[in-house]
Amino acid sequence: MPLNNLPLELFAIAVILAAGAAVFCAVVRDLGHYARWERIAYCYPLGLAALGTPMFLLSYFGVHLDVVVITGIAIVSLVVVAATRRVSPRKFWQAGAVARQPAQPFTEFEWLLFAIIVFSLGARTMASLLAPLNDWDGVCVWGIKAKVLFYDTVKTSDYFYKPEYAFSHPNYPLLWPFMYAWVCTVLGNWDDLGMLILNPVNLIVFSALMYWTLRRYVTRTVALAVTAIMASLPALVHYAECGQADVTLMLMFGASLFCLFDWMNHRRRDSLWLSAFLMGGALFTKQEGQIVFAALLCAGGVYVFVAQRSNWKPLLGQVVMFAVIAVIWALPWLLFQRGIKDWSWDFSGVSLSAIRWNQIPKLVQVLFANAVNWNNQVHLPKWNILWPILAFCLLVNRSVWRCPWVCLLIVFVIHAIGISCVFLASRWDITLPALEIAMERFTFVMLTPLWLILAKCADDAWTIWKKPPASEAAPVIGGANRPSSPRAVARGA
Amino acid sequence: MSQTKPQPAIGKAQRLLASLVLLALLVQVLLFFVGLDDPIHRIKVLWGKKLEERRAIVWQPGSALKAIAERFPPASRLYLMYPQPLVHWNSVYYFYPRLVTVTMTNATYRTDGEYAAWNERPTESWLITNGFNYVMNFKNGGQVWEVRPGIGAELSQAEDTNASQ
Repeated sequence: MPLNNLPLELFAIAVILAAGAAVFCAVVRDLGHYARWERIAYCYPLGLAALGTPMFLLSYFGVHLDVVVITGIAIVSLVVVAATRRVSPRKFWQAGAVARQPAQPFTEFEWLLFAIIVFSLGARTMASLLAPLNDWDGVCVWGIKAKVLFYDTVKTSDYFYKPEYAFSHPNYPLLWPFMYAWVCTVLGNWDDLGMLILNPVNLIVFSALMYWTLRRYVTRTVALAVTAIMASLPALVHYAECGQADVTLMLMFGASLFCLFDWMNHRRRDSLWLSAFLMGGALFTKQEGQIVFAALLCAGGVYVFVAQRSNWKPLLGQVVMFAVIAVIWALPWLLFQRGIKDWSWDFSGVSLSAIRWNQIPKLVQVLFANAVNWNNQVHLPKWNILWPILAFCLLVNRSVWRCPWVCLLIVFVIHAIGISCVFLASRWDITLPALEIAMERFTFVMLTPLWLILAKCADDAWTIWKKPPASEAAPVIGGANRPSSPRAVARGA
Repeated sequence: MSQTKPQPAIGKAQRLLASLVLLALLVQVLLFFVGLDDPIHRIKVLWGKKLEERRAIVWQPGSALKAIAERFPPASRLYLMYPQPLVHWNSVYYFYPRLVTVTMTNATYRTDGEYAAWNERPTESWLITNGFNYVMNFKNGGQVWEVRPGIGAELSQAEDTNASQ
């Protein structure tokens, strides 16, 4: 396995982490609210969002990606923020460690779950380090953009304006191509194997963030089990190798959602600002970012009006601020994007009036088949039995239908409706062969809020199952929130 | 729920539902190996091979196009005749920073029908005026011409040859 470029690839990732650490330290006042490795994990998506927009602005003004310039931006930002906030590396590393209780050792079952997570992520990482860019969208949509940004700039390239390139959707956002180009810039040459080092990092960081988010609300065993299911999900494991932006969007959207949910539970404004910044990154990652932005905004609005009737004004102001921060961070791209004509045959010119309402029954059939089919049309396994489990859990569990958990369901529903409208308004045939591959990618992004729901249902079931029958007191399934985890208690959360 | 209040006893139905949820989750967890099939197969197939060999395994057209592209100087400009969608789209990536184009008229090519209707054989003056260095014909197995005075006749000859085949 070629590892000679690994130090430079790790340097490229370290710069992303440094940029993210600057944002994290600038926004978060109570570092101890987050676990140590959770803080570092958050730095990665924050770094992607933090570097994406400056890279775009520099390229827009004709400045090529440059190792010294980008590293300088990240390091100077980090030093300035650390000095202003008085956050030393030691403080960043040790914050909250005193209050934390020593962890119980893993049980055998937890070791098994941990091994499944490590083995799944490890196998995908190894495969990613061996296979150069090869998938269709990776080459013809995202790879070409990355190559343009590596050799050229937004200002000097005619890529965005030539109708001949319509097949590659020049109007698609550029955060992910910029990151591929960034790794190649550090490597000093175009390397469509080396740049894919970011792909497994996306999945690893998402797994880590999801686990620590789940730990705030459920027991360790359940958090590990749901993380193991996510990390070994066939469709996700497959697409984690591809050079497409879907797993990246899942990471940005997921990190944003986790922070938003933290705000709903703890009213920490820091978390909401982090969520907003990450959502700005999601808007610059895929067109679909606009749908998830709308979904989070609606969920935030519902939370304010349904759960907080007596205190809705300041909270509504915070939700508005969330939207403003996200849009401002993505604004340079959004403005530039308006000037790119969409020549593509499948999505160009689509609008609400183009929705084929009579195709809804067919779309429902396709959605159902996508959820329950074991293999897809190229004989790759999809979801195992995840969707039937989710449906069953939603049927038998009542607590996830209450605020703030129901807000997660709202995010999922709005996301699913948004994607359905895109399909209905496009020129694609509403058939499984035509839509399945794209739908799989949309689906694992949509799953993000459902992981939390699944964990909540599993935790409620686990709580009931552990109790002896009838003779002792126990919560009704879905009827009560479990007591805070020891870690949350220790932090005073 | 307050910890001090008496809590209702767990009924059999609730225990059964909880057990079903946990059992289903356990099954899903234990199906972890299903998703591992793809990356492990990749590792087994690619391990120990050189980069270009691996590229040829995972995406053979990409490997072939990359090899063709590397025969041309990085600053060259190529005009592709009789493009097919897959070849054209992949060429744009694998040839870059070499510029490739299939159109003199800034036309949009996206559907199979549009590619089938392709009819933009370049003229000698247009190629020279726009700084193109090479012309490649996909119709006859990738024949390449260097752009120079007199190429127009060669291109039309190639066209006749193909027409008679």
